[in-house]
Amino acid sequence: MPDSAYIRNFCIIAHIDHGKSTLADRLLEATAALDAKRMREQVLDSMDLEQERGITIKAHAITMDYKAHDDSTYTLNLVDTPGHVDFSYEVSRSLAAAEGALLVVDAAQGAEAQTIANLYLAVEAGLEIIPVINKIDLPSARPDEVTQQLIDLIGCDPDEILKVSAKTGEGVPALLEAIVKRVPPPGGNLEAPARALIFDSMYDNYRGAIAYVRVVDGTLKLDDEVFFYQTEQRYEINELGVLRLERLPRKQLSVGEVGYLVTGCKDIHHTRVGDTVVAYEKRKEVKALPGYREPKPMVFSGLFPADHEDFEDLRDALDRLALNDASLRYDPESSTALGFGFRCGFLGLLHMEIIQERLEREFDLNLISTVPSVRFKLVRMDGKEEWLSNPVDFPDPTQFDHIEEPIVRGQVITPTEYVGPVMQLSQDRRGTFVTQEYLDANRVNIIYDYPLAEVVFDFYDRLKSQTRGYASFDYEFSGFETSKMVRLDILINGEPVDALSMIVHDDKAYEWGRRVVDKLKELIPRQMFEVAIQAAISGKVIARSTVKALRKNVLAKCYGGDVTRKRKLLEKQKEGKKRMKQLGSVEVPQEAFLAVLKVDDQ
Amino acid sequence: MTDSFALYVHAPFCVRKCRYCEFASEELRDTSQADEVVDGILREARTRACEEPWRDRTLHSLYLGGGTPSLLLPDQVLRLVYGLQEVFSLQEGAECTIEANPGTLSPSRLDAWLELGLERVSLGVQSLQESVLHTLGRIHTADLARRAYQTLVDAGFPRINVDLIFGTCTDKVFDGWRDTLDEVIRWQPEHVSAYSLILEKGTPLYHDHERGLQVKVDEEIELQLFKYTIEALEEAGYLHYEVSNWAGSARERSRHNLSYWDGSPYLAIGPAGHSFDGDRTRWWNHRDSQQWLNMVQKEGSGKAAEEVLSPLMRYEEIIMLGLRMIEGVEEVRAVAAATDAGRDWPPESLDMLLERRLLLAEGGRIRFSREGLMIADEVIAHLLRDV
Repeated sequence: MPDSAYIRNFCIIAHIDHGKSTLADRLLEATAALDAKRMREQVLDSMDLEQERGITIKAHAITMDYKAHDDSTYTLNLVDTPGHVDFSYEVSRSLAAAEGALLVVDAAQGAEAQTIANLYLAVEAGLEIIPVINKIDLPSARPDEVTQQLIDLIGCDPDEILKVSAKTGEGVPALLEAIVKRVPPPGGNLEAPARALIFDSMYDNYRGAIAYVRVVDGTLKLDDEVFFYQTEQRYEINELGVLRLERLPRKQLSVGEVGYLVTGCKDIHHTRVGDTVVAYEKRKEVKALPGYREPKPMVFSGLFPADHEDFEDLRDALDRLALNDASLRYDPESSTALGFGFRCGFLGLLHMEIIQERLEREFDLNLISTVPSVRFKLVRMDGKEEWLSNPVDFPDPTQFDHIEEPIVRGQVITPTEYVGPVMQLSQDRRGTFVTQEYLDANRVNIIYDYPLAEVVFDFYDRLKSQTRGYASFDYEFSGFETSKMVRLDILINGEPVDALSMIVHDDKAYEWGRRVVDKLKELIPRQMFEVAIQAAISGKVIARSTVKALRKNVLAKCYGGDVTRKRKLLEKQKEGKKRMKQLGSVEVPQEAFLAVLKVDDQ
Repeated sequence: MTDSFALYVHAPFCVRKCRYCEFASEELRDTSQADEVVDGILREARTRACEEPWRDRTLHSLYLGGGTPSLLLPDQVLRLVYGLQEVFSLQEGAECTIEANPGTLSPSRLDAWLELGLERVSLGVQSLQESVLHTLGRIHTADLARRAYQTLVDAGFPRINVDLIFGTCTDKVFDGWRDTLDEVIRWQPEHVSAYSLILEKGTPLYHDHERGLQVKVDEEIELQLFKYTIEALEEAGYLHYEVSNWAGSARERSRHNLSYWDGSPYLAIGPAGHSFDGDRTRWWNHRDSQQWLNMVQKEGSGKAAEEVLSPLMRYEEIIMLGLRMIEGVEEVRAVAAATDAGRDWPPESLDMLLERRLLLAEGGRIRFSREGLMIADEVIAHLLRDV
């Protein structure tokens, strides 16, 4: 049993591309946790999609042994953190499992909004911050400026900042020493009843739900009966151990240690991130660890198989993904336009995109997704509150008192010359200015409150394009506000298409209506007859456009007896039609259902 | 009809290739080249004549197409047709057609054709507008085409088809086409084929189009031209019997062309020829004439590949080809083909297409309405969408 005085638990806070994964690889290499044979670029990101997008989606952890200059061997536990705003709750739980954080900043680019947001979380959690400037080998590196930025940001001394190159390995030994010296050993009481924080979990086909834990007090032992506090589940520990490159079983895990638990639990929804594992016997005496939150989907969208025969396959695929993703929600839904599918809840837009992409790639499904919506609070005449996230459920205006929409506090960090465009964009998105502060002479941190609905669409893309990619953005949920929301319906040849409806703010309804009908006009090909596209609110048409009928489409030519050629032309035409969704007698391309996401501003 | 078939013979050469044309054809170098082709055709014909399903069957039509078969010298065309008659037996009153370019007619050729019973001539006039003939890269002028037609009439050819192309860009598109069509109607040919210009990849005209030159009129004008064509020919008493074909009377319909649409067997000899056994097999010859010739000289056959049609493919063909006939497709035939293919008749979308009067169901047939015909390809794809 390691003495907790020789344990250091830490995590890495970094912006995408600032080199977190490469740095993690270097640490593993330097501590020989990773031998040459196993050396693979960026081991922590194990999913293909993560590697491609350069985002660590699921937090993992890894244990290293490090022989320090004082000749003692330390156990270093690196707790990984996901790098996207959608997963900020997961980040906060990972931080709760550590005592220190490496704040990794790119020497050329400086700190970004996401990094700063996570830094605040880490400071709040009382973590020791070790500022690290990475990529000092880059020709464009400007370590002096970035140093000043870090000093302004966390109030540290210049010599507390480490300069490394994860690529070349320069500065890594000094970093390991700093971790040992500066990150405090874990606290906790060895004699107290066992308590452990679940900071992540994953589903294993053979072992069921595996909880990644940080022991906060006492000791967890093999065969112990444990109790998952929030989900009130009782299990026996079948296996526990530490996380090397593989799971390494042990007899017990003691205070301060990071490791995994295998119980009889088969359902990942029972091993929730942030939950507390306690000894079953003592469940009445001990308190749950603070900070637990139910996984809360923020963005909802309908997912439908393009071919209705794939419905069961889609269900199976969602079941499979949900095994490993406790925050994914899905309920069967039926649409007049698209048939049977699922209403899915996601943590955010990125989470949604990842799930859709995985469904299409890993399960080979061809999907149609509908316009994402946030979750509104619908207040009935009698004061009763209901959740509303599907435009289809939007009641008649006489049937409710008012609607409240989710608001987020957003933080934009931008070079000063883009303050104007950022503010303009924020106004356009119904933002309310809160404050702004200069991080240094060239960068401003601008705080706005935004309706979440305005942020989940293409806010980030717009922000990037208006600031030439320099601005970064982060947000956190802050509450609900009364808002005049209406349902915008889209009618095709007079028939409302439920899958194209959306909930929008009254002030923006006309603009959206116009944009959507124009976009649909662009996307719907000319067909045998005129197609009328209308946008309407409560039955009142506010915008319309028309796809003119196809006038002439006949190959007035005979290729002699070459019927094969004619048949091939027909096949090609039919292929094109198969990619369309038939709405009544109108053929609508699949991408039309997400058209609003791609409406070009201005 | 199953005991007879149509024979197509391809002459793969021209004086000069037209700028819109992508058929298998090249400039004729010398007379010996044509001799070689004739030899090849006869050799291949002998091979086919021994094979099923052509053996023991008679010809109801013979069609010399191309290219420019009217380039064959009188003795070459005599040798060709006599040779074919040795191996195939031509029915009494069979339809015998030769395609002719107005720039290639000579009295001795016409005499030879008449002597051989090639009494139907398909004359490639294309347009009577000089600017259009120029754009298309035709070798003849409008006047030469007029004289050629008159020569054929004077020589006593009882059946003449005039081939026309509309939709080429020029300064007076609509007036020019109306003048061409009206004049051709005054000639009173037995048959008119009017195609809308198609820009085929790889042709010089397509290249012009790629370079941004406007060579073809836009869809709206093309539609007006097509409608005018239908109305003018109808008013002149012509029977519109296939998308692009009009006959002076029902008996003037091209028996040969009909066999492409109605599913009866046809045999093609010569490079790039496409054949159908009337049952389940389609096959085609090598497109390159030298390659075809080498194969024929070596093996007696220039066949390149074949495809065996599934019942489903046949079903699609029967609908697709049948609907190109103005009288449409017999519903019993469609039902039988669908049943063979294990599909329900009618397809789901038929009701809607009938309701919108793009298709009409009358007298046990399904056919296009005038509006439907304009967008025939789209309607057919729609009808067969889920098949």
